[in-house]
Amino acid sequence: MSELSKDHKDTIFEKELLPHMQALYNFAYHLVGNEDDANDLVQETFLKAYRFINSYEKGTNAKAWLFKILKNAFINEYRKKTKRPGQVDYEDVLSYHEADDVTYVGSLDLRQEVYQDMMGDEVTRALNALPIEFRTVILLCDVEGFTYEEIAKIIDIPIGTVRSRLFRARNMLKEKLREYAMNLGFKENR
Amino acid sequence: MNKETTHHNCQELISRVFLALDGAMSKEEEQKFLEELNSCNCCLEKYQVERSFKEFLSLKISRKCCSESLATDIRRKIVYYKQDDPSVS
Repeated sequence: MSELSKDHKDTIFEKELLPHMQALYNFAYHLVGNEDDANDLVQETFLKAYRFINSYEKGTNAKAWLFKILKNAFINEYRKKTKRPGQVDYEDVLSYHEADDVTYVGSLDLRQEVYQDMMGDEVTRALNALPIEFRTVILLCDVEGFTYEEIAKIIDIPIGTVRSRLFRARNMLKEKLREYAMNLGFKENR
Repeated sequence: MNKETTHHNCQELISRVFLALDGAMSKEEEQKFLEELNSCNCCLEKYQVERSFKEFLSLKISRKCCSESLATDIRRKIVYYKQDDPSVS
């Protein structure tokens, strides 16, 4: 691919990449859990994007491309720094969970007042309690609205795995929300 | 888990609920799916429950706003990068 001129690079950067900053920040925040690290991760992402802007094809999915860069930066650099001894590697958690049959855990009765009254903070806390790879698919699908194909590209897994991981992630989240509801004093009648 | 059904295969239909909700079906596929769904109360209910859950999540998961200075910080980093890299200037 031919090298882009400096002005051309700057135009693409301003017009096609930078507008996704807010969505990237939100994703980063949910991955790292605090503002400072989220800021660093987003800055890192845009710097990488600028360096590799020649491999970005104009008019293609800029948002998915940026999310992929952010996800990789998070895995390669950020997690290495923060990984504490004794912490369970999420790949172990994954192979454990994904080996299970895909069966229905059941559903939340969202008509119950307790769920309607739940604040965003509580739902976000339940989400953040999920292992990182399960949290990621929920964020990409239900918050950002990416397609299965885009998600498969962003996290480098087959589409079939995107589906099964999403399925499991939603069930885990329901389970967490049910626990929260129980703690709030709601008794299940089943 | 493998319940025999007398009409259509509920398990098969339910396995496609998320394809419909996550926008992974073509318009025609979705149309056909919704028609099948309407013929079975238990499948329809499952679909509605999952749809409400998806709406619930997108409504309740808080979206964090970045600081106003983030774009400025990013542009500043790019300027430094350009100064350091002789191939860009």
